Amino acid sequence: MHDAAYFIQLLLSGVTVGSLYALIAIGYTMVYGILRLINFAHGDIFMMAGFFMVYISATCSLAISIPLVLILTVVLGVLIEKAAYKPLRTAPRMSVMISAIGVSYLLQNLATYITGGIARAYPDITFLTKVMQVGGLSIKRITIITPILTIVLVAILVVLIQKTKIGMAMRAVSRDFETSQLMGIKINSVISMTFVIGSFLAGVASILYFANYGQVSPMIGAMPGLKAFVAAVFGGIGSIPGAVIGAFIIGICESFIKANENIAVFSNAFTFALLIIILLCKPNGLFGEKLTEKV
Amino acid sequence: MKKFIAMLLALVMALSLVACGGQSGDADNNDNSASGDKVVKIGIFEPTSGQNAAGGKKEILGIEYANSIKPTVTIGGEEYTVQLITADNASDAAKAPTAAQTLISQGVSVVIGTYGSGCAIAAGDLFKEAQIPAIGTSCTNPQVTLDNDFYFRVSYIDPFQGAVMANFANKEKGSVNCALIIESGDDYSAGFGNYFQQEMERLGGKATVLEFQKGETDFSTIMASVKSAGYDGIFAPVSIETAAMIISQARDAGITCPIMAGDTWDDISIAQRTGDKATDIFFSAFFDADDTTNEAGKAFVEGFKAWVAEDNTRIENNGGTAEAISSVTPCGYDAYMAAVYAIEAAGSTDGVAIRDALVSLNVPGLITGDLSFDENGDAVKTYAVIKTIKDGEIVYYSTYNG
Repeated sequence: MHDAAYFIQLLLSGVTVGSLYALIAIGYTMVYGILRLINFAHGDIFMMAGFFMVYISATCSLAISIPLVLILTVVLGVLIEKAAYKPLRTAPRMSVMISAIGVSYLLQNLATYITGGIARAYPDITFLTKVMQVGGLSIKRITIITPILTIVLVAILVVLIQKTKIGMAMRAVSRDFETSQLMGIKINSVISMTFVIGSFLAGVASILYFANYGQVSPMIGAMPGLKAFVAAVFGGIGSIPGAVIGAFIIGICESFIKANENIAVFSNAFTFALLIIILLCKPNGLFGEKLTEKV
Repeated sequence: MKKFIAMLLALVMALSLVACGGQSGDADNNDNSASGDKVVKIGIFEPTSGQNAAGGKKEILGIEYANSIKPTVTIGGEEYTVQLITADNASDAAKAPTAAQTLISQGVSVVIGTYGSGCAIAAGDLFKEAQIPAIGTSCTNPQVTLDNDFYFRVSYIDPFQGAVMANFANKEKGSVNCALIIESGDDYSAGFGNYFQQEMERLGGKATVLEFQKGETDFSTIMASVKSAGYDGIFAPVSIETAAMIISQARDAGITCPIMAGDTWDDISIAQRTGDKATDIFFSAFFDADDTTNEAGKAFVEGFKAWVAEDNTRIENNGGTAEAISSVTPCGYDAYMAAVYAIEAAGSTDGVAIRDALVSLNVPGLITGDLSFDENGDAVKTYAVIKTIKDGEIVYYSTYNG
């Protein structure tokens, strides 16, 4: 009963949502790769970036506020690492994770306190939100820009990790934390760099996400954060291409499930069921490396 | 050394807590002595965070304004000062019982609220058990007051509202094949949608349910379905936050049919957020600020605007402007007045006595009309306004009187 345009529309919105999940998922997967820490505050950094934009764009033009938002988001991410994770570097892994949950709640409640709990309108970035007519389809520019930008950013990131010195240091640290420290790698600057990259991508994702949906509220980071986390685990946590592919698969599947009236209510359940299944059948995810514990 | 510092810090924190506690205790005492120890507590049970926060804050403004008009009640010849106690139910049916419990333990005589039927239903039994009457403001689901002797309500209810909107959609807008977009698991959305669907089918039309989950931001797939199936109208009884996204994503997808909804959409922020995409939007409302035949309403509109303009926090809570009046604000006002009249009629601060007074209460000339309650505790209402959005402003469209 549906025409081809309908399915293309579904596919497009799935790819867009998937690429947003991908940008967030990279932050999860990189931090996990290096610190073996699931940074639960990542979704809230994404939310805070949204609020930075709301407040900054009230006084500045977009040309100033977009870079400023990205810088502030990066600063926030690094600050969180310095304040909440670094002092716990020698503590058991569980303590750091609980600290991350604490930061997540702190950010959510801080945002609720400052905004009074009301959703704020996101500034209209007309360059992104303009609607184009292609055939029988109405497509927002953002729908096309998001996946392309994501792929470009991921390509740059892969080059950074494979070809540069800091990238080599990152790979070394993710292999063996202590040995790389012994080899003279400045572990703190590598970790800071990880948070810089993760937060930067979360900042980019937040601009694309909120420009598309038009408003920011204090709790909005939780769901995309969780979905991105599932994507990271699905693709094999620690693996960047894995996170991206996992995110695309989840985005597209969700889109088709939500379009079917009969099973639409299960769209979130599907994502989390997928998490359980992948953990049961392939605990290391699609592209995860199998680590052999050395005695 | 480190241990010493840690101990010192812990000590300082503990002491500061004690100090804070002492101060707040003093503040309470001052309050009581200033008013001569005669205080009657009214609880405000409203969302000030979460997806209904914008609506909840507007109702609280109505309640606070009513309180500024009538800050005292006379019981047995003595003047009592009304003390308002607010508890945030966070727009979440899971958190609502905690907020209700807070109010009950503070010893309130009456509770006013809430915006959002889900929270009202979740807390209803607690008020009933504690024998504290609650006066619903804009929670329109019939289940709020059904089988609950202690829950009353000043607004109209969803079967009425659903019928009004279905008639409007079917007869005036010619939308006979509607998409019904509802939030799954939300009592207001599902209930109201269901009454709309029933009336639509009775009129020979059709309404197909498309569900989304709480917290959803991406409606592009639903819009693709709407476009592909060729529905000629959208009915979306959803929260204010979701409303703006549904409107803009529908128009972005190239859907031009009328988008209709209920009382929640009477909020200026929807118009602000959707800009020029807000075309062909229609929703029912409790009250029209421009209605010149409503004497009480006219006085309220003038007084309220001046009162809001006095204070920046009030302006912010009213959606950043002192000029717009959401129709849930008068509901807050009317509920407060009903509470005060009932306390005076009962001549007591006892919950059961106030409940009995509410049952037989009859207040003419409140803002949303004369007020008396039927056997379920619902206000007897036969009047609804339909509003639309024009040039970024909410304006009157038509009146339904039946």
